[in-house]
Amino acid sequence: MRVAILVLIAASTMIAGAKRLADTARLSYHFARLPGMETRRATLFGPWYESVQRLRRETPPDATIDFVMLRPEARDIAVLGAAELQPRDVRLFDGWTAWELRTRAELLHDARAANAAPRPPPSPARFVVVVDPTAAEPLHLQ
Amino acid sequence: MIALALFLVVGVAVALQLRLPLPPTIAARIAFVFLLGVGAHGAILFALAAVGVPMSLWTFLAVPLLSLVSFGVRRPRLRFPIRHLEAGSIASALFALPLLVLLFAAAVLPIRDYDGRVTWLPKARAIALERSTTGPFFHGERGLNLHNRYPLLLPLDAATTMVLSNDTRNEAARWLYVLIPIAALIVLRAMLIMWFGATGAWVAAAMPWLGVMTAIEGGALAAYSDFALAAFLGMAVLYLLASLDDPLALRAVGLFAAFAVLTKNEGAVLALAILSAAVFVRRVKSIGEWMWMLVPVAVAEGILVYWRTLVPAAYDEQYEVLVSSLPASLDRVPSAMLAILRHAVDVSEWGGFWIAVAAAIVVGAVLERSRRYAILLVTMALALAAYVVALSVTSWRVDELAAVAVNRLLVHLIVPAACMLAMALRKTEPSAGVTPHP
Repeated sequence: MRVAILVLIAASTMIAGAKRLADTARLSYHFARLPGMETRRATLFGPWYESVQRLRRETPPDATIDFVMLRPEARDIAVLGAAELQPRDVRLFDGWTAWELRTRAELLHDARAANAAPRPPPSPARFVVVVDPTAAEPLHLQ
Repeated sequence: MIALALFLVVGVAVALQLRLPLPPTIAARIAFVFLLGVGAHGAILFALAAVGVPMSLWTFLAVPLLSLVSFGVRRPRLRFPIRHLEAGSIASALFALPLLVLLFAAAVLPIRDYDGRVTWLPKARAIALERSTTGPFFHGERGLNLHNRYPLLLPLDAATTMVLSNDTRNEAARWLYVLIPIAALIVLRAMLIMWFGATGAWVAAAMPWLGVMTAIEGGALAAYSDFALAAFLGMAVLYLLASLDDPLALRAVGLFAAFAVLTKNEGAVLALAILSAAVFVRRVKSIGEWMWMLVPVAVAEGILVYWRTLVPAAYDEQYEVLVSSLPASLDRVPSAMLAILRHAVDVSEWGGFWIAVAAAIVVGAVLERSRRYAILLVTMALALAAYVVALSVTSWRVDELAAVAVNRLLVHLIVPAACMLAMALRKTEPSAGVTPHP
């Protein structure tokens, strides 16, 4: 009885996890043939990542960059792009109006949560980047 | 990998200085001291950084160097003899296979989880670049500082690997993150086999196959901190169980609970759960035992609270405000409980694991009713109750938040759950009363 229960638990867990494990192994095997981590990242993450790497080359590490998100779906790649561009000071704005008003984007939509640290509105950045996931170049310098 | 060896050095030093009992196999001892080193190194750096010690290269090296010096001060005193544990070759192979896949994947694949890339690794990179936990990044002056007041134990460890490898790309911290769940499972397996024999070996063999291990978000290949939290809580639980036979093991419980506090916001709740189990079930007796339990956790809370006074809240949930709104959110409690239940019984994600754990709790209530059983039950019940509250008070729709959070919250409890399962199954053996086990 105990053995039967053990087999059942182990088998159900293994069957559930095996598919994802096999997918991970297959993906790893495929990616192992790609030269270098940079190529693997570009392949895995897609066009936005290549755009960000281009921005990385075109802007100095101490740059200030305004990201203007043209649509709500731009948020994910804007946030990921800002992380990739560290230590550049990237600020996020929801559209051109917010950018002109220097009102930073709210990422947590809860009145009880804190958004950007309470500081004076940021002065215009040295670089302005338009973020649009539907564009051929999802993040491009204005 | 050289940087990771530093955590082993720190872990060995802490284990020797505190005379901590070690797990019964060599592999489990290495895994245990690695986890101890990850926790101790990050916690000490957190304290140093919070009080304003500049994070120079020598600061990152100070803890490992002091650890090396300490080896000359105290000789090892091993409480558990090294043992060869009979696990069976099939159970051993089944345990090892997924871990080998994880290691292969970690060597090849970029870190691809969202929260790791936008929340945790930018913190590590900021610390490595600014050499401070209160620098411009943490004041919103240099980049997007999401969840600015999240605890920094893991980012400080990750920053150490970045500084020492002179590489601030995400993958510089990859091995740190992937080795934590692997180490936790190796220790868990050794303890389960020591306590529950072949039953423990088979329960342990199932654990690396859990779907969450290879989940993109929150899996072992991610840079989330959930598996670290699971590992720290897991070690605290295992050592609380071990402390019933060896009081010295209690020293590790407070330490790992403190590491949990400094790892994620949920760590405070999990520390409270394990402390409650220690106080009310294990019945901590002497002043010394109280000190070993409470002082590390109190110090960790102190470090965290003090550091949070130095940096502004930014893109942070304000949990104290949220929890105070619980009375107004009571109507959401049933749907929060249902959401957790729904995810736990999702066979495509967890197999029959949580269903079996639920059955084990019932079996244990009938057949076991020991302090070991109560420790596991209290820890899991308090943690789950806190997670129900957390899901209830947010402004998210419960099902939406549950979809992205519940599996990760359940990950925190996999070690006590596996112990519960093995304990109940062992109890159903005809010879269960003969072999000593907790």
